[in-house]
Amino acid sequence: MTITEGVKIDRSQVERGVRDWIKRISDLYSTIKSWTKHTEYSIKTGGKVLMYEELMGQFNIPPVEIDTADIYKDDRIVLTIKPKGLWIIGVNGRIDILSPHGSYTLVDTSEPFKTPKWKLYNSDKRNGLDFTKQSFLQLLKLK
Amino acid sequence: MTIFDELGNIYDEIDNTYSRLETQARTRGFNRKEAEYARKRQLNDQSYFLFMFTRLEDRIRSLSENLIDSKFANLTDWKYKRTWFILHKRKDGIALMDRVALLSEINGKDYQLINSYYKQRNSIGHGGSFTIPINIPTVINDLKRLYNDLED
Repeated sequence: MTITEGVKIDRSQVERGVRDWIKRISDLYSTIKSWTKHTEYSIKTGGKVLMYEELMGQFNIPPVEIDTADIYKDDRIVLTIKPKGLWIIGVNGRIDILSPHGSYTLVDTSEPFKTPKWKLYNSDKRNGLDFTKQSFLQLLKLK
Repeated sequence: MTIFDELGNIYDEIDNTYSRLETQARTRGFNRKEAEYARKRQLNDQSYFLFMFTRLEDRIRSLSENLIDSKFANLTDWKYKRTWFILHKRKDGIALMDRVALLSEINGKDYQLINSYYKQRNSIGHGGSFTIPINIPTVINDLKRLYNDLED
């Protein structure tokens, strides 16, 4: 959900936004799982990160724990996926992807409650690519 | 290369360094270290956001002062000139968002966007943290565009 000044948001919209964010993350992990099938990589959910954003505080909505995930190759973590935040200026959620070679950012450029449009920003953070099986597998091969 | 790109490149170098360390700490199960590097990345976000926003602030100040000076100097009919006369007299004390209102449609998209970033800037500038997370690639694109689009 993008932050829009001057637009009234009520508690139910914030609760819906949190539920939707959790679902989008879970769906993303499922998509990545399908992409890693029959490859040398696997995905496992790891520790949790706490989601407690400004709008949740405004409406007394308690913090929620969100799954992070790790991509493994030969029992070694090659990528870590950490949801960063939902209500961000200009985008509909941000997830960080960390690797031993640097960081990447995944942002959802869709409108709130629409089908996600994930864009991947490489470590130079300038040019967003569509997050597809191809761009994901490419990311795993970067050294 | 703009100042935003230049700052963005330095930001990336630092972010990538801490990301590598954060990943190493996670791989080894060093949870406190992992959290420490995550915190450093967050502080890096704040520092470079603040640095970049000051460049836009400077541009807004300069454009709004040019506009005030020009209107004050060129308008001859007092009916129109008086507003600019007052602004000219008080131009050191004009708040940033009032300056933005001189340069863009009040409550228009650009005005709202600058206001959103300005709130974050004030929160960090007064010792707090981001009230909402930000995304540096989006910040760089937004600030570059606003820097070029705002006109006096």
